[in-house]
Order: sequence, then structure tokens, then C-alpha cells
Amino acid sequence: MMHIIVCIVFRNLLLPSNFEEQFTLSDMRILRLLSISAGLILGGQLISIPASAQDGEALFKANCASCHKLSSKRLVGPGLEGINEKRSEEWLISWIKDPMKMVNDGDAEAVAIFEEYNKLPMTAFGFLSDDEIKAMLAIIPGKPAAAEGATAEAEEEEPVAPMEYTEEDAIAGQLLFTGESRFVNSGPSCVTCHHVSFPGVMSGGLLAKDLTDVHGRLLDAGVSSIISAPPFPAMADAYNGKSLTDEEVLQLTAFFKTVNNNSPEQADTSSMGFIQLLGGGFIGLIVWLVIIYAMWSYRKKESVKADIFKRQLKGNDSVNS
Amino acid sequence: MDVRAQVSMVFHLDKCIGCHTCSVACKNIWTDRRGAEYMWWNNVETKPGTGYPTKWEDQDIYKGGWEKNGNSVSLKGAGKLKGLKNIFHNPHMPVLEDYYHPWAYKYQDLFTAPEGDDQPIGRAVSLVTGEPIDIKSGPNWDDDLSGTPDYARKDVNFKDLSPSEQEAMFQLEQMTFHYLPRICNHCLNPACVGSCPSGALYKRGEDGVVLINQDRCRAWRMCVTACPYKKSYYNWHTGKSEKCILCYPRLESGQAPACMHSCVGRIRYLGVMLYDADKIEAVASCNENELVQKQLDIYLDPNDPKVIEEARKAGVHDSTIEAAQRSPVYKFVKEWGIALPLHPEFRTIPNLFYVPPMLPAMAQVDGDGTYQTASEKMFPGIDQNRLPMKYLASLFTAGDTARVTEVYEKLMSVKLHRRNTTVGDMSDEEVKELMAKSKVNADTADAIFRLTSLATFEERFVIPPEHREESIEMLEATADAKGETGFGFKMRPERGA
Repeated sequence: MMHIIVCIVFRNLLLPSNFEEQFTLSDMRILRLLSISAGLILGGQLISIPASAQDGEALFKANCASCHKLSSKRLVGPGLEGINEKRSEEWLISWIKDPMKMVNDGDAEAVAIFEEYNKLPMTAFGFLSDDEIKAMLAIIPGKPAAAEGATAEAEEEEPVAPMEYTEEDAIAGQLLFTGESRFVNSGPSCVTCHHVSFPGVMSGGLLAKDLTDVHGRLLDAGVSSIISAPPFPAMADAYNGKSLTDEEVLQLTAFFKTVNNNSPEQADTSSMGFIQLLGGGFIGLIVWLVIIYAMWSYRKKESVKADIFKRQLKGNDSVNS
Repeated sequence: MDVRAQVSMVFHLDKCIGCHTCSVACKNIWTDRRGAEYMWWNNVETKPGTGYPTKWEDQDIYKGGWEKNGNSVSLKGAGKLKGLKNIFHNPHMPVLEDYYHPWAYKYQDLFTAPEGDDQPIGRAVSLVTGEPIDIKSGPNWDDDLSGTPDYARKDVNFKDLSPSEQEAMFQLEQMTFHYLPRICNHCLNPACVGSCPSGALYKRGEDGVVLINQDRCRAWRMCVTACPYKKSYYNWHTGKSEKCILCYPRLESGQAPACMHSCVGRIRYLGVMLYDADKIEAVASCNENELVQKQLDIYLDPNDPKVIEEARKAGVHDSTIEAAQRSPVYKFVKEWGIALPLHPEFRTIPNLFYVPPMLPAMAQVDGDGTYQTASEKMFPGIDQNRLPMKYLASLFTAGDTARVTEVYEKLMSVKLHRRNTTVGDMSDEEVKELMAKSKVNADTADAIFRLTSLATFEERFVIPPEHREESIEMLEATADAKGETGFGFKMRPERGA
């Protein structure tokens, strides 16, 4: 019902009264289809009910909290305190909906943030409506009256406390990652979708990101917060109602740190070994080719008519009989 | 004694006019398909010549056939160890160019070309790639001695001839040729069957036809290498090998194979032979000079009561034994001894026999240096045959010239006898002398003449009822289809004695 009304309104607003007369029948059909579909889209927008402050909190928890804090402290991404004063609402909405588009479009501020956070892209939230985003922005507190310098100092003074874990935790984490031991809440094991390059771990799924260097990029805080409350829709779905315990989060974080420290990029690659491998391979190839040549040297190498065909070429009429 | 039946053939080369009707009949029925364009299950070659595929007789190139190995034989180009070694690449296969690159013409261009300064032409396009090609050779490029320097002079059968003897063959006054139509020999010791790693090839029990099971063929192409006659072909489209099936669907319904049925010169004969399967290994592995005689000995006399008894015991149907008694092949090969196998030295015991051609006698040089193309006699001696006996022996008797000469003497006896009977201008003494020498009496000579020249369709093709119903009963319960109308029999199959 709503759609139809919107559709009619849309047409009356956009099209001059004599507009239809200027088009042929088939043009009119297309136009009608276009206006109906546009109406549907607009209608869809209109019927969504404006979100309340309560929704804002819930939405923030579900979508943002795993990477962002409401204070000025950095987690995976920057603390959001005072963001409403720092950026315009329009900028924030378009950033939240598709951050990489803004970076690619060359928005100076967007590029600066992207660079600052080691080119770690923020998840796009295109499925959130403007109203939902506005509701979330509404709950973010403004900057306290204290001097900026003091806040910065305070930040430096209290760095995020490193997580405490042992080697046993890392080993337990590995078992959890590979699925050799199950999660308490029976969530799927990480290896289903993720891969890490680590001795003793079979190659994992290719559905999601390679996590070999995830700890190097996100550090304890980032890794643990993503694991405990996944911000990615697919991952959030997979662990919906099956969230990991704090201990499991700790163990996995420990494992990712071990993996990162052992990743091939960080391993001490000896250039001598590489040359030896290359040389050995080359010599082996030559030896193998010689063996092949010796074993099959008696093979039929060309058509029995090759000499006839050669003679058929222009300017070569000599006959060998 | 293990008596079995074998459908065998005789081609009378004196009657072949090289018209390729057989090849075309076969092509239209069986190999007019994608991937089979280059195959000629039946082909007609000019001899001397290199044939199709080129130089197929040269087993130093193609490694076909069997080799004597103690008291047995082993394949020249296949086997367990050789098969393992060449599992990824079969190194002696003929390439497409050894056969020929099949082509067609873009005839449509003749009608649809836009108006221009030049005449429209139908370009040759490859039947393999569809791209325009330059035609370099065809399946019978050496027909009637064309391209002699490239083909006829490189005939593999010259290996026993001295260079001067070879040269003499190509002097204009002596030059001659005959045709050699070839199909699969449906050998008693088939190298193709022995070579197949998949067990896809088999020899049918009831008539000895050699077939490739298309479901089991795994494209190893060992049979292509192993067949010394190069009569197994690889279909590049289906990825399976194919060969002459002796038109078994026609045989089963009592019809002659298409090549034989269509033969204009009526050179082809088909009939059943009974043979002793216990002797196959011994025959295949005997010394080269005994090969022909031992092969002929393996075929049994279908009128011998002992043979008939053994045949019945081995499950050969009475109607098959009866067909063997009327077999024209038995007459040519065993009774008269005027048909010989092609290249017995390949040791496959081929079942296609050839009556060798009587070629024109050599011209004589008169005292004044002119060539006398007609000799004094009506039929000069066979020593004046334009093709040397050594050459014919290389084709038909593994180099045994005495045996070829024997056959020619018999053929000449028939000729002289018939001339003397119908025209009467020969010297009786001369005729009698040769007939006595070749052990051909007047009755035999008349019988040979009759089957050669006047034979009816039924005399040329004595096709035994195939009794497929008995084979089918081994595989499925025929009671399920009882009362339904069947297909495939032209004659009512006979049951029991």
C-alpha cells in the first residue's frame, strides 16, 4: 500500500503533466517500470522506523564495539570519544557505509586514517541505514573539557596492559585453532575458514583471511576483541550463540602471537640455501633430461614423409632417390 | 586339438582394377565420422609403393608385429616392461601426417563469394582443425605409381633386391604395378589383442572377428603400434581406437561385408576355415622359412570325419562346419594352394590371403634394338614376369621365392589349359608339361577358372549362420524377450543337427 502511494507521489512530483505525451507507448512502459522500482526503493527507505537511543547502544555493541571504544583509547581502531565534533555527520555516515570507497576516492582524511592504522581496512557497514548510524553516533560521548594535551599524556601513561599467557596457552590455542580440541560453546574451529602458515598445522580454509600475521597487525587487544565479538557478518553468524570463553580467547591470542613470530616472512631465510636448491634442481633436471634422452633416443622422431614435405617446399626441387 | 572357426578372406589381385569402390563403401558406412576422417579400414595401395600409412611395412620404424623369442613370440613394440617404460608416451606411433591430413573444400564459397576480379575458389580446409591447409598428401597419393621417386622407389619390399635390380624395375619398358587392397586380417595371433593393456581388444569366439570394445578402450594406442598392418586407428575425437569390424552386423544377418559386396572386380571371397588353436604358438614362433607352410597346416580339412568330430566337441555348430566345407577360401588356400598370406613374417597368422597378380611379361629387345612388346609366345614364362620373384616373395612368403614361383606355375597352368580348351592354339605338350610340373590337373584347372571368373555371389561368400542367439543366451535370459519379434536375421537361424 505504502509503495503504491509513494510511487504515485514520485511520479507526480518528478514528471511534468504533459510529459507522458512526449513518449511512445513502449517508452512509457519502461518509464513506468523505472518509476515503480524507484518508488519501491524510496518506499523501503521511508517505512524503516527511526532508531532510538536504545537501539543505538545495541547496534554499537553488535557492530562497532569489537574494534572501537567509546573512550579515547585505541583498540583495533581509534577510540571514538569526541568523534562527532571532529568529523561531520555526512562524512561519518559515508565512511561507515563504505570506508574503502572513500580511501580509494582520495578523501584526504580517510587516506590519513588508513595510513595511520597500517592500511588495515575497516569493515564496511553498507547494510546499516542512515538512521541507525545516526542512532549509534548519538551515544558516542563528546570530548571532556580537559585539555587535549593532558588526554594525550594520559593515553601514553596508561598503555593497554599486555595479556598474560604462557606457552601452554599457545599450544592449547593451536589445538583449538585446528579443531583438535573443541570450543566449550561448540563454535566451529578456526581452521574451517582460516589458514595459518605454521609447522604442525594443516592448511586451513580459504574462505576467510590468512591469519598468519594477524597478531603483528592487530596485537593482543585487536585479536582478542575480534575473537570475542566478531565484527564480520559471516563470522558473527557462525559464532552467534556460540561465543568463545575468555580462556579460549586468551589461548587463541597466544597461538596467533606464536604463529606471527614464526611466520616465514620473519624466519631467517638463508640466500645460500636458496642458491643450493636452485643449483641442485638445475643439475637434477639436466641429469633427468639426459636419462630421458638415453632411454627414448630410439623413438620415431618425425613423420616418415618429412623428407617428401621438405622437398615440396618452393625452390627445392632436388630429389633424393 | 582345439578346433575353432575363423571367417577368412581371399583377394584375387589379378582381378583388382584399383577403383577404390571398396574403400568408399567402407568409408560411407563406418568412418564418415568426426575423428575417423583419416581412417580407411579398407584401402587400396599401388605396389610397388609405400602404402598407407606410408611405409607401414617397415617395422624398424613402427615396431609392429611379433618377434621370435625362443619357442614363443613376444611383441616388438609392446609388452609388460616396454609398456611400463612407454606408459606416458608411445614412441613408435604413426603421426597424422604418416596417414594424411584429412581435408574438405569450402564449396559454399563458390556460391557466396562476392563479385571480384578473380574466380571464386573452394579452399581446402582441414577436417581436424577447420583451418585452411595446404594439401601435402592423401591416403593414396602414390596411386598408379604417381610420385614414384618419393613413394614407389622407397617400397620396403626392395630390401632383398640389389640396386641394379631395383633400377631395372623402373625402366620404362619394364615398369609395372598392381594393386593391393587391404583390410584387417583378423589374425589368428593378433598383435593388437596381445598388446592392449586394458584388455579392450578381443577375438570373437564364433567367427574369429577381432574387435575393440569401445567401453574398455583407454586410449593407450598400443594396438596402433602393435598391428604390423597398421589397421588399428586412433579416433582423436572419441579418444578410442577403432578398426575394421569385418562388417559383423552384416555377417550376422547373412550379408557380405560392404567392401566385398561392392567390389566391382569381384575379387573378394569370404568363407569359414576350421583351425587348430592349440598350434597357434608353435606356428607363430617357427622359423621364417617354414612360416607359410606351417600356417597353411593349421587350417583343418572340414571334410575329415575326425576334424568334424573334434569340431563338434569344441562347440562349433554343424552349420558352421557345413559352411567350412563349401568355403571358397579353403579351396584357394588349401585345396589349390594359390593364395598366400600378406607378410607372414609379422607372425600374426593373418587370415586374408592373396592370389598374386600375373603381371605382363617383360618386353624383349630385338636384334635391331627395337623393343618387342609382344613376346613370341602367347604367354611367356613366369621368369619374364615384370616384377621380380624376390619382390613378390617379400610380399607374400617372407622371402621364399620358390613358393611364389610354385603358385605362379599353377596360375600359368590354368591360363594355358583354358586357352587350349577354348581356343586350342597352344601346343599340347607345353601345356601338359607345365600342368604336370605344377601338379594341376584339368579338373582342378577348370574349378580354379570357374571360381575365379564365373563365381556367383553365393559361391564367393559362404557366410555361416552366426548363431548370435547362442552367444546372447550366455549373457542374458532370452526368455524375457520370448515371443517378441527380433531383429538382425535375414535367414532363419538353424538350430541343432
